[in-house]
Amino acid sequence: MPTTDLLGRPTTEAEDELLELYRRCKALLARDDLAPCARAGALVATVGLWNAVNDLALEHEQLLDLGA
Amino acid sequence: MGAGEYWNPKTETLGREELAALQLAKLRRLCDWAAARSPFYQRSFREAGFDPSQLRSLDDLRRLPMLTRDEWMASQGERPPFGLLPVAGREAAIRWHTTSGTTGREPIRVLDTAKDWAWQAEMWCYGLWGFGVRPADTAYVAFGYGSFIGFWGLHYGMEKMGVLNVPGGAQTTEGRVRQLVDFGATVVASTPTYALRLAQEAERLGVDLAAGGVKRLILSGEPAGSIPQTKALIERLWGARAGDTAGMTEIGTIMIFECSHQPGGTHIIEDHFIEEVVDPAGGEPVGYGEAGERVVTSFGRGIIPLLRYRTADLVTRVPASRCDCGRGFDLYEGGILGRVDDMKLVRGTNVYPRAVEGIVREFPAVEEFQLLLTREGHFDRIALRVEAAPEVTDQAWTDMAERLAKALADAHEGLRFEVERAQAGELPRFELKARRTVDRRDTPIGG
Repeated sequence: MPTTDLLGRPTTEAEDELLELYRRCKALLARDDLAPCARAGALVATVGLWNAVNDLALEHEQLLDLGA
Repeated sequence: MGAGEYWNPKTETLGREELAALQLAKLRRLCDWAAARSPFYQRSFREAGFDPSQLRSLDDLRRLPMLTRDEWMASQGERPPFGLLPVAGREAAIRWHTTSGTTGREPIRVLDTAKDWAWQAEMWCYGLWGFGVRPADTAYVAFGYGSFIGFWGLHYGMEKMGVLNVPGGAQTTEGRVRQLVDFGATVVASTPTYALRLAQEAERLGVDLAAGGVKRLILSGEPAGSIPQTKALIERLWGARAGDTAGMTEIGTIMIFECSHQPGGTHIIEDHFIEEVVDPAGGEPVGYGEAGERVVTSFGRGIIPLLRYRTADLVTRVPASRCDCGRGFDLYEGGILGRVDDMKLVRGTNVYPRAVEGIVREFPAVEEFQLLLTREGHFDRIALRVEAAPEVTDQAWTDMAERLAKALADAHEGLRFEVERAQAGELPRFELKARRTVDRRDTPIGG
């Protein structure tokens, strides 16, 4: 299914991949069975991807409920 | 322009309509977030009869009440220590910073989550990349790394970009000069005042900075980074290009930066901020080319939503087309011009510290200066106290003082400035925000 960015433009293949990774990282971060080392790494990854999808106008949301 | 010129080619080159559409999309989400989570905004929205669903265009932003520093401070008093703006408490945060306290008032206390902190570094990346900093650079950060947020975001932005980063905290000025030379710094970050201080110290040590490896200075923390005479002096002493930036603790990072084209102004990072310019008295918007007060809405820091914050910064906005870099971001001509309350009224004449500095910096033998306002009876006095270079003889000083006084009078409707020579080391030196205007009159401006 084609996706669009916050401007209504179709996303590129690279943007789709970024969004997919971002969503998977968020899902991982939402789990309650992660070791502290895994959770810390997932948090850094999620925050890094948040900046990318936010910069590219793909998503704009808060992560406070995920601890970020 | 090549895409390599931009940190984020996609949004830095958007047209004005697309930028506005992006800002509106983000604004709606920010207002929903504030309405759902921030006790301060829940109350202020209710009192203003505002609901986020009323946001149909960017013009609807004006339905929101503006936020003042005094309101923020009152909120901190109402619910210490962070006030009612934050959507969560300290347990959700990884950083706690405060304003610099240079005004002598109680500082604003701010929190940041992991996401917010990473976003702050991201904003610096826009500016650093835009001014030409690249991963091959070595950066020296001449900053004290304390509770003032200052260059913290720059430090992490440099790391994120892959720049070799040298934290210059806990050093004397001499130690910093020696380190930045020893480590082969190609980029130095400091306040404009401190860049001059470092250059003076280098000269004392016999270090020729202009012949060294520093190619770029990243300036922040004071309006002086865009005062042409100060900037020219810094660039000459360092043999490097100086790029102005400006930020504030209330948003945590920079919101404007000078690009490598150096168009005489600073670009607003408009995909992450909405910047309004209003008449300081009435709050009505002013147009391009008119000076007014900055009002900022930030999309970045989630733990403290910031909507229509009155900054008291004086700016003049000009269109993006003023610069040929290809960005769609508008600019502030001359960066931050000062504070709306900076202006001093002396015997009926307006005196702006920025204008005084512009004149003083045309005299390279001035090592430090202070503008001192006093009152004797009903008579206001204005004195420029100057620390001149040690090699300036008494005769040379007399000549220099006369020329300074004339230049200042010519620029101020004939107002007489008393130009006095201070002893070496008598005037304060500044690493962060310089406070060179001292007003000892006991009556407010115009009194």
